[in-house]
Amino acid sequence: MESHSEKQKHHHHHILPVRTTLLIGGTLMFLTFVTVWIAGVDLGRLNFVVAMAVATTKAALVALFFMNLYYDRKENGVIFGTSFVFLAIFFVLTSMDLFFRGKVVVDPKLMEAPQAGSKLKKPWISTPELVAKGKELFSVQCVSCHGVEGQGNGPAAAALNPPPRNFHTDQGWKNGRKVSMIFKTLKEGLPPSAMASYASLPPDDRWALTHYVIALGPTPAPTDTPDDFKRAGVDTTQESGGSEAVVATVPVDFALERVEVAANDAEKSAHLYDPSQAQWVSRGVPQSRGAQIYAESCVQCHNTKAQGGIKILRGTVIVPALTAQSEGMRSQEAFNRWVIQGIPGNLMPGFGQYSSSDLRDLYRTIQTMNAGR
Amino acid sequence: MSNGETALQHHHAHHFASADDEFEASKQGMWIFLVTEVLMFGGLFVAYGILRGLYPEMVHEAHKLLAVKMGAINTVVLISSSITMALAVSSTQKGQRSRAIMYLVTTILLASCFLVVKYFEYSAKFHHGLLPGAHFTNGELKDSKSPLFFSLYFMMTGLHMIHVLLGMGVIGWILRRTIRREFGPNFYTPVELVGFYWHFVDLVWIYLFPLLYLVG
Amino acid sequence: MAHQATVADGGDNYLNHSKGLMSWLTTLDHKRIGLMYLASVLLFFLVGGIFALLIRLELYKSGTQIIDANTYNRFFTYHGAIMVFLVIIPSIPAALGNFILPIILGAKDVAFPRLNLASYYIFMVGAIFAVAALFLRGADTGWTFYTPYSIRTNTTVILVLTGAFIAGFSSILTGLNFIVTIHKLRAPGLSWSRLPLFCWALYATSIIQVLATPVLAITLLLLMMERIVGIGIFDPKLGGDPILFQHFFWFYSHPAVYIMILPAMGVISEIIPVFSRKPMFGYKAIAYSSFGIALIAFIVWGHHMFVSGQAELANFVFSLLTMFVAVPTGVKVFSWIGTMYKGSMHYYAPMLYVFGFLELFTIGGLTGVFLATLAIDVHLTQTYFVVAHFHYVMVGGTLMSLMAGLHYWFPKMFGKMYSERSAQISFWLILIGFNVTFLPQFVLGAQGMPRRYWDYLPEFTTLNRISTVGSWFIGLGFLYAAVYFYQALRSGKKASANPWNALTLEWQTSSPPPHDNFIETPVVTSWPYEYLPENIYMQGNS
Repeated sequence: MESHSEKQKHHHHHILPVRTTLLIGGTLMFLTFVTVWIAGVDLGRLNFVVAMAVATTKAALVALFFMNLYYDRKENGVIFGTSFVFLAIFFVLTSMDLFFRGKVVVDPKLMEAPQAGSKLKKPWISTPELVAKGKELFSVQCVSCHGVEGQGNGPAAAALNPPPRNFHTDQGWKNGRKVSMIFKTLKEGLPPSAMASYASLPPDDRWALTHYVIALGPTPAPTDTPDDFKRAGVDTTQESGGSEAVVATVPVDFALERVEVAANDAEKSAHLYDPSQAQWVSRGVPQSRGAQIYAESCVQCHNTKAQGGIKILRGTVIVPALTAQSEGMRSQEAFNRWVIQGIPGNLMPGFGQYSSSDLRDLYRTIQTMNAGR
Repeated sequence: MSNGETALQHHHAHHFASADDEFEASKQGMWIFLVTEVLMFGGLFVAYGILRGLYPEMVHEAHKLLAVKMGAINTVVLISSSITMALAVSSTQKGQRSRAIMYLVTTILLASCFLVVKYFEYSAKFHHGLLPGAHFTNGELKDSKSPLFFSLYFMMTGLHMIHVLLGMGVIGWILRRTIRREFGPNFYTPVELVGFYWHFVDLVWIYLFPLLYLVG
Repeated sequence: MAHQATVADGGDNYLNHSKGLMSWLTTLDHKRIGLMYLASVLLFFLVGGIFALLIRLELYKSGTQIIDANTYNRFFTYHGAIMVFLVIIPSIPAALGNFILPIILGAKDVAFPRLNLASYYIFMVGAIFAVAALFLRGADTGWTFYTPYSIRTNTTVILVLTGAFIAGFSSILTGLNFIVTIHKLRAPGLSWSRLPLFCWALYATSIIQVLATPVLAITLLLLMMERIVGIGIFDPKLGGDPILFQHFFWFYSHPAVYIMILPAMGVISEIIPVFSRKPMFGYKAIAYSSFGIALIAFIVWGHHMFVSGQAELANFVFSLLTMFVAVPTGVKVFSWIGTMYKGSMHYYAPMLYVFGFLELFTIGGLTGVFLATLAIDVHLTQTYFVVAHFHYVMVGGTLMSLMAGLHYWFPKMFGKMYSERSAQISFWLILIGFNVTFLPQFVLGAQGMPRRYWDYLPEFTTLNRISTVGSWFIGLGFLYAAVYFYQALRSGKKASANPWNALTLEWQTSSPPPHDNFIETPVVTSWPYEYLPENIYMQGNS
């Protein structure tokens, strides 16, 4: 008992002999040399194992002798050892997540925007079919500004500055009148003018429009250089002209379909609200001028109750309801400006053909429609 | 070993039964403190392990830009300082005061030497745009994840460097107390515990050096 | 139990040992430091509680009531951060533990009294940093500081991080101090197998504090560097991994849940045998299960991340491991029930709070098993179900046993008795208020009401209203407790040295204890839980 406690006391206050200190120090230096030398030899994965083994040997020497653990009571060794156990838990459980994530999230294909190209072959060469299709599309997409004949005199043109292009001359084309450049304009628009981007139309449709627009003007149109095509993002080495990222939007086909359906519905509905009589009247009965104009020009998008029921998406624009809070409904002046000028870059075209008394009637009609709700 | 013999008149605190108990308690406190240090550095080692596991090629490519020679010199410097620290402790235990002072001064000098090498190493990294994360401007490394390696490099060596600085501070403090003859064979707890701390700083570097410089 | 201790009466005690504010601010006496912690914790509890009441008031109806959405985000962040870091974590270990641990061990003080005082000031500095952020732009990240939002938001996240970082060191140092104290300063004869269960619990808690908190420190440091330098380790924009932050964060913060609950379980284990007058049933099982809980605490953190996008493997393993938590917890609950079984029960305020604890903690624990189940958690996480669950565990667990411990040790701390009647009224207010507040939230969560939003769909209105009304009862209950405690301090009846007739060492010295805790060092000769049924005398029934 006596000797045991004597021994223990000795253990707690162990003085490390100078010889041992220098011996351990020398070994540490030697191991440092070894580890640097071995790192220079390529052993593949073994390099890591060897380096860690050497480091751990060194660490053990420091802990056992310099830090006295070899001579100390077990308790302190257990305490210090615990930290490494918990560090190992930390690493192992974290790596169970990080190293086993699977490929789903990082699959680069999912991160890319879908691409689509023209289904036609060499669509930059004009064909009668393309021109015919272009004419059809023109009457839907372009006439409100560029006019039925493409002379830049559509109903909305009056309020636009700069005015819409007259396709019958070859003067003043901002991007030039080449196939590639018109295609480019259709894709990107001409900000900040009212010419919007039509990237939401599929490339085939844009090619058709391009050829129709060229067919309207004096022939021959200037010819394209390969450089022009490159600027327009067209790859002429591919039959389809290359692919481009699909714009995330509701397909225009679908939107136009909805416009048509709504217009037919309006046509079919037997009654319209007549503000002058303050009641719903059948279509046969003469209506106020405001109600006529509404039925003629507004109902397609804003629906029969001025609720903006049809939502056409192009970019982020949604056809709004015409409530008393709408900006354009705040006053007669605001309303006039809104209707005549339209909202450039937006689906709302300008309607320059109405007189100020027409507009007064229309304004009142919409107000009463609001009140009727 | 009763406290009555203490030549230097060290009085243990009243809530301990003896100076011996006080010494044992302080030592255990120090070991527990070192446990917290292991886990604090451990967080960075785990981050390193994850990064290395996820992007082995990137780590391999990036580690070649570290200066092995400087790292190796610093390893030798730090091990030497550990040796002198151990000698300082045993000299104090044996009551060789002037030797202890000499060893402590050498330890501080070696630590400063470590910092000087580190200074040159860091400035070279700054010069080549090998900076952490968002400030990384080096064009040589192609892998887009390379900045992360240098983030970890600076975090790990930086935290270690802060420990070296703190270590120099506490060694300076016990040096002062040794000069004032506050330690001797009967009372040397602070010297031994500061020794533990310094050896621990060495121990961290023993792992940092191969992990960052040698086997990236 | 034959402790060789003398009771000093009417003479020197730690409260009148020295006078003046400075004698408190510079004290090395663990009892005074414990009281300083207690006062600070209660102050923060008041602040955190006011935020809680404001949050509930905002949720009284759908739509904006008193605060807008951004203010709401800041308020719940503050409620969470203050309650977790400044109230629940330090409440039992730092406040009650500091006061009781050395006395219950028969020691004169903790192992490192200076370090103890330093921990208190470090804690206060951390708290001041966090509260200072309140008066600037605040923080709106929630107490979890998830990246990448915490990197981007322009609120004063760094200040709050610094506060938590500093307060963390206080927690580490307290843990270190307690471990060494328990190892080295037990009274003669107080072997490990005679160690009171409160000490076992504090021991396990301290181990967690020492092992987990440093990881929090490095995590917060990395996050600060992320904001200051842009190191990118947790920032997806710079190639880092934000989920890695969650691993780092929960490696600390899950064990932190046990830093909150283990000491609470220790308090419960002390009180039950005293008020059941029966020897502790399953003493060893309770002692070892504390370590079981401490170990399991470190291997289940991933269950906070089931829907974070971590690997399936991790989800599976963490879900499985989490189930094991129920085992040591169950061992404890059954041992407590075994102790009470056929005991001669005395329903005084501490014991009532123990019942409150058992009721709330059981509900909290069982709903925790639902959440541990991966498939159910996917639906319930991020709903009010989780809010209700962790309030049942944290408030029901920690706060109930803090109140139990306060009522149990109040006579020892101050040498005064509080009004038992008032204590019972306040208990019922709190218990009923709590259930009215949080039971509806289980239903709301199951119905799909998301957590953290300042508004909700109108169909959730009724239950939210009930919940808000409940919160007023809780507030009232605590307010009432403050009143009768204050009255007791001013004009309470003098408490005897051992009003509950308990056997542990802290009751074998005078109330309040002398400066050095004991006149003579006590010698322990037996196990502290040998209660006999006939051994009944209490101040209350005299």
